[in-house]
Amino acid sequence: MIKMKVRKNWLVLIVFSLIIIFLPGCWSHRELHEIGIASGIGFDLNEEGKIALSVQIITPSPFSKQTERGDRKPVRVLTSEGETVFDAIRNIMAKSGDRVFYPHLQIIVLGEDLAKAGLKPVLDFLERDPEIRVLTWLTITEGKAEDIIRGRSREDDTPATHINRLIEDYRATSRVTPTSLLNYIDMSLKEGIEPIVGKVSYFEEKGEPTFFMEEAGVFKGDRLVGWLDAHENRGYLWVANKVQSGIVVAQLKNQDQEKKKNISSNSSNDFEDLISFEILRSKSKIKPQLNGDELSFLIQLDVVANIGERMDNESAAGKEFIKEMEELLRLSVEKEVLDTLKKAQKEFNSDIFGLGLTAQRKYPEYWQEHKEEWDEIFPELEVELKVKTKINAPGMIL
Amino acid sequence: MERISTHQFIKLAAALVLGQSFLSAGSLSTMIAGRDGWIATFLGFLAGIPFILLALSISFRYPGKNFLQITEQVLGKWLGKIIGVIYILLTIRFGTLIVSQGVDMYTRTVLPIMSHYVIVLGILLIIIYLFYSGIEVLGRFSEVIYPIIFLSLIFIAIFIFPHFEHGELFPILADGLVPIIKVSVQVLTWPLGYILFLAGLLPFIPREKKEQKKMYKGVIRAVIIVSILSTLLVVVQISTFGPFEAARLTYGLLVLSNMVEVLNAISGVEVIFTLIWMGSIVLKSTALIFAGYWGIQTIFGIKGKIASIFLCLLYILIPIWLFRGSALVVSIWEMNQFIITPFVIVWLLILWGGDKWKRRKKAA
Repeated sequence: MIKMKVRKNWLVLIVFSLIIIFLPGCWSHRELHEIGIASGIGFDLNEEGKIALSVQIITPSPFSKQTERGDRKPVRVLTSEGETVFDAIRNIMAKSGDRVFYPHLQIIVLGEDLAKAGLKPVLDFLERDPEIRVLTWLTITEGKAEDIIRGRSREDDTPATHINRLIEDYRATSRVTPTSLLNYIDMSLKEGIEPIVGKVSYFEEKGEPTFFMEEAGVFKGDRLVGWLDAHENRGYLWVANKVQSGIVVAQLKNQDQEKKKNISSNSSNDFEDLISFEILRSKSKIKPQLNGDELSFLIQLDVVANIGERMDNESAAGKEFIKEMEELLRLSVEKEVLDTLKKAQKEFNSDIFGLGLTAQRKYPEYWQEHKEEWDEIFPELEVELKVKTKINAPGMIL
Repeated sequence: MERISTHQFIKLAAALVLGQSFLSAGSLSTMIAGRDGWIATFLGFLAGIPFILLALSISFRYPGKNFLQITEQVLGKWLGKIIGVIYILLTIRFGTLIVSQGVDMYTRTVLPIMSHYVIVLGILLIIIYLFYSGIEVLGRFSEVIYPIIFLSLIFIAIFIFPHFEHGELFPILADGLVPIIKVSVQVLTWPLGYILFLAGLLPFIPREKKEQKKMYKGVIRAVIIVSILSTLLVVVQISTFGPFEAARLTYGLLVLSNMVEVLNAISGVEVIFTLIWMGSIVLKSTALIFAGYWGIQTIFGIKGKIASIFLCLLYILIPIWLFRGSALVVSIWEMNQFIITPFVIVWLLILWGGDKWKRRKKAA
C-alpha cells in the first residue's frame, strides 16, 4: 500500500516536472524583432491584372531611432504582387525577412482600379484569415492604394494610426463614412443595400504631407461606380443615422429678403451672411409605404443643433429668429440629403441608403416579387423627406 | 458506489445540454433558417424537454439500473446487446468528434500553426484525469465550469451590443415555418445528445422520491435556461453579422469574442474565451467517455483498467488521425442529424412502449 502511494507520488512529480519544463515556453513563438507588425495594408490591381500588395510595417521603437547608419523610419513599406491575395501576401516574405503579423492592422486601403474591377476576390481572404480582425477600417482611394500606404504623417509616427484616428474622429465633422470590414461584408451580402466606403486622399500641402478624409466611394455589387463629395457624403450619413456632430454652414441670404432685412440689417457683405449650426444629435427613420403595387418611401430626420456662430455678429435671440433658423437648418439638411439621393438614384443607380432592405423587412412579399427588378425600380422611386429641426441654444451670447 | 447530488445532476444536465453547441449554433441555424435561426434554436432545445423527462421517468421505474440494463430487461437480451453495441460506438464516435472540434477551434483561430498532436494530448490529459477521478469529480467540475462558461457568453452578448443592428432580425417568418422546423430538428440533437450520457449516469443519481421531483423540475429549468442562452447567442450573431455572414462563419462566436472591446483597454482577448469554452468541450467529451465505459461494462462485462485504457487510446488516436478541417464540421452535422436524433428517439420510444406493454401484461 505504502509502495503504491510512493509510486503514485513519483508519477505526479514526473508529470508536473514535465509540465513545468514544457509550459513556460510557447509553441512556434517568435520574438518581437522576428515579426513585422503590419499597421496598414493596400490592395491594387497592377497593369498585368495581378493583385499588387503594399504593407506598412511598424519598426519597433529601439530600432527606429537614429543609428550609426543614419535615420531609421518608424515604418517601412514593402510591396509584392501575386495571382491571388494570399499569394501576394506570402510573396512579401521574400522581401521582409520577418513574418508579417496582421492582428494589429488598422486600415485596409483599396485602390481605385481594383475597386472598379470588383472586390469579391479580395474580401474572401480578409474574411477567411484568422489574423485579420473584422473591425479593421476599410478605406478607398482615388488612385493607387500604395500611395496611401507609402504616405508620411506629421501627426503620428505610424501613418496608418493617423488615418485610423481620422476615421474614428468622424463624429466631429460627420463627413467621413466609417466602414469596417464587417460593415462592408454585411452590406455586400445583403439584398437591398449597396456598400459605401470612406475615401482617403494623400497630398502635399505647402510641402507638408497630408492625409485627408471626407468623401466616399459608392459601390454597386462589389464594383466601385462613383464618388460622393463631402456635402453628399453627409447627405448619406444623415439617412444612415451616422451623424453625431459636425457643422452645417448656411446662408442667411437664402431666406426671404424681407426676413433677411430683419435678421441681418447691418450685413455689409456675403461673408457676414453665414451662420454655423453645431449638430448635437440626429436620428433618421426610413419608412417604406406600399400603395397597391406602388412603393414609395418616407425618410424622417430629427436634427437638434446649436447656433455656434453668426458671422454678422448680430443677436441670435428671439423666438421668431430661432424658428427661422430652424427652417434654415431644415433647408440645408434637406438639400444635402436630396442631392445625395438624386445622385444615388439617377447617376449611380446604387441603393446605398438601403431602401430595398427596409422594403424587404416591411413588405417581404413585395420584395420577393420585385427584387429582381430593383435596379429598374430604385431610380424611379418616390422618396419624401421630412426634416424636423430644433435649435437648442444660441451659445454664450444672445 | 459513487453518487452525485441532485444539484450536481442539474448542473451537469445544463452544462451537457449546452455542451459545445453554442460554438456552431449560429452558423448551423442561420444556414437554413436565415434570420429566423434564433426561433428554431429556441424551439429545438425546448423540444428536447419531453424526451429527457421520458428518459428520467423510465429510469425511475428501474432504480439502480442504467438504460442498457433496462433495455435488456424490457426488450430481451439480444436486442438489448445490439442497442448496447450501437450505443457504445455512438458515444465513442460522438465523444471523439467533440474532442476534434476543440482541436479544430484552436487550430483555426488562435493556434493555427501549432501541431494538433499537442492540442489533442493537452485536452485529453484533462479529460483522462477527470475520467479516472470519477463521476463525482466530473459533477463538481461542472459546478465550477458551467457558471464561468455561462458568464463568458453573457459577457460577450453585453459587450457586442454596440455592434448590433436590430433590424437584422426582420422580417420574421419570411420564409415560412419549414426552415424553422428543419433547424429545430437539428437543434433537438443537442438535448438528445445529453440522453446518451444520462442513459449511463442513471445508477449514480439520487433515488429518493423527493429528489426525483427536484430532478424533474431542475432538468426542465436547466434546459429552458440553456435554450434562452443559446437563442440569445444566435440573436447576437444575427444582429452583429447579419444572417448571411452568420451562416458563413464556422465559429461566429469566436469572431465575436475577437470583437469584444472594453473601454479601449481590453481587446483581442479571444484566447481567454477559447480557454473557457474548452471547459465545455472537456466536460462533454468526458461525459461521453464515461458513457462509453459504462456501455462496455454493461454489454461486454469488461471492467476496470482494460475498458478504460481501450477508451482512452481511442480518444487519443481518433482525433489525431481521423477528423480534421471542414470534414469535421460535416461529420458532426451528419452524426447529429442522421444518427443521434433517430437513434435516441427510437430507443426511448421502443423502451417506453415495451415497458408499458410488459406492465400491462403483468397486470393482466
